[in-house]
Amino acid sequence: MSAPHVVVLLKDILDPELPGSRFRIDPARMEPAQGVGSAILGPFERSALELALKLKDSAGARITALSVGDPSLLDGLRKALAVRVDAAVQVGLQGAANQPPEAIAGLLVTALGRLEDVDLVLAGRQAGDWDHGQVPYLMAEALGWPCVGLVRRAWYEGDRLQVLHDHAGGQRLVLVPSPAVLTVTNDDALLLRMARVSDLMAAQRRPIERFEAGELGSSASPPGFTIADLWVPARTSVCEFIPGEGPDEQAANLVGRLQEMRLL
Amino acid sequence: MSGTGVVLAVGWGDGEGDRPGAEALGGALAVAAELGLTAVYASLGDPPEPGAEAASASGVRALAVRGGTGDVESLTDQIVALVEEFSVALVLIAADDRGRQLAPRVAARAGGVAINNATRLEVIEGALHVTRPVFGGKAMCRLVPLRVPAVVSLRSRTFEPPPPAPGGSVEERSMAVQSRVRLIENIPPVLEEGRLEDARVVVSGGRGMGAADAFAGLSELAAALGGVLGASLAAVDQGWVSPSRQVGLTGKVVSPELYVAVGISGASQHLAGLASGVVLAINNDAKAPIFESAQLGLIGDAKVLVPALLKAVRAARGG
Repeated sequence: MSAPHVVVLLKDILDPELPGSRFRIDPARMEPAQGVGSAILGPFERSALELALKLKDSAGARITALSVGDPSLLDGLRKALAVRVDAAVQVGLQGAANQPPEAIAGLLVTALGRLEDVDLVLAGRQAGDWDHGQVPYLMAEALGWPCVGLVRRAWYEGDRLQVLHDHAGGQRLVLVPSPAVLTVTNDDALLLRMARVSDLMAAQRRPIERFEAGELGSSASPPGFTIADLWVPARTSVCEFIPGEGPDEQAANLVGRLQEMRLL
Repeated sequence: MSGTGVVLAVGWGDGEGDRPGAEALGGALAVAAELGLTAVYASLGDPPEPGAEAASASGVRALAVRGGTGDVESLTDQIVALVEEFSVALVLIAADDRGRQLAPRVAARAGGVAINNATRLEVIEGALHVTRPVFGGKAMCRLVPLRVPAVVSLRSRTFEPPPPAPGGSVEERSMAVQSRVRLIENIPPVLEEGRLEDARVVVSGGRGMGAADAFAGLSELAAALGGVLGASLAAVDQGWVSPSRQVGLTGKVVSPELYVAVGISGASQHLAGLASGVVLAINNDAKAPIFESAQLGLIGDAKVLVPALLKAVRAARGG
């Protein structure tokens, strides 16, 4: 078969390593407060990008990195260019990170229609911010394409795509017809490769194609829910340090406390 | 959502037999009356999970559905067919690996809305409100579905299985579906230990354990407490523990009654995996961030505290 065209979906998210003590929300806007932390490429998107690169290595896949995001947030796309994807496309949308999944899926499906024939869409299993875990599945349903979730390996044998994915606590090896949507989970073999310094510099100069969300005319259905409340849980307990002279007394005191709390 | 429709609880047999489906049914019965809906249970999978009998013993109409392959494509087809047949307004399923994929797919096909990882359902002025964690558990949000069916996946232990009640029934039926995805090989789970997601006690070790050997003692402690072994990303990255035992944003989300964190600093990535429960932290650094999230703390060297705790637990349990 000719080289498959793989589209990998990327999202810059609020750094998940931001300590809880520094996290703040904007109660009026029902979203994280502006400037609370930096945006980085999500961990599952990194795995999806590496899987796309493996398909480029093994099957000569042509990779397009596609993202819906604030026009100023290009970290993920620049990172993808630095590890030598073939093209990068951004659908510009202010406040994209806080949009409902139906809106993002609708924009992405419309954007896919602007790209040359797509054989495979790779996405992280969930964005590590709002954690809806819905966009690629909504896209698969809108496109009418088969979808396999929690993928760890994928490779072409001729024109047939074989996929190893998590299933019911174990794994399954399956044959997936094309075109298809795969969601990718983290795996030791999918740690995103390091970019070469020269490629990092070149990535800053490479073009990123832009579609404006308003121009795409997305057919997304309206949001399916309203956010009635968003809050940071109050810390209701203070850690009770178990006293004791030496480990045996500490352990005995702890066991007594666990029994009082009916945890033992 | 109020009306004459159905709240459909579905099980497909992951985990402890029919427990995830039974918890979904517990949720269905908790909100059905206030929403004016009737609870129905569907047992799916290949073969159907064994929950239909138990569901009928809880007083509901239960369907044991044959003919599926148990994969997400097949389960989606079956649930969508049931949604259409029963005028379903609300679908409740477990937020396990398949459930989180099923929710958006069923909702999209049935014209509804999906909400994953719910930790609470409430009915306020006749409307369903769904609470779920966001941003790795740093915040919570409460959502109100605007379309039906609402397809909600529930985190483990959000509800208890329902008590017995009269008036239930079991109905066998066949619903053949074909998956577009062809199975080549099924690799069953390696059940060296219980599932993290179902455990009432989880004992996890982190970088502070120092070496792979130290995890043998943690496994013994977990067993003595009636729980299972977990680990932080740092311990998995070191190769000390299988990735299947990782708790955190990129690992499993656990909902135990007691979570014991040994030699774990308390990075946000790890804390995102803790949905509920009392946290007991054991660490030699009194300033470790894990103590900010713990209710109980033990300061000291894990190498001596873990064996001492194992001895004390066994003594308390008469072992």
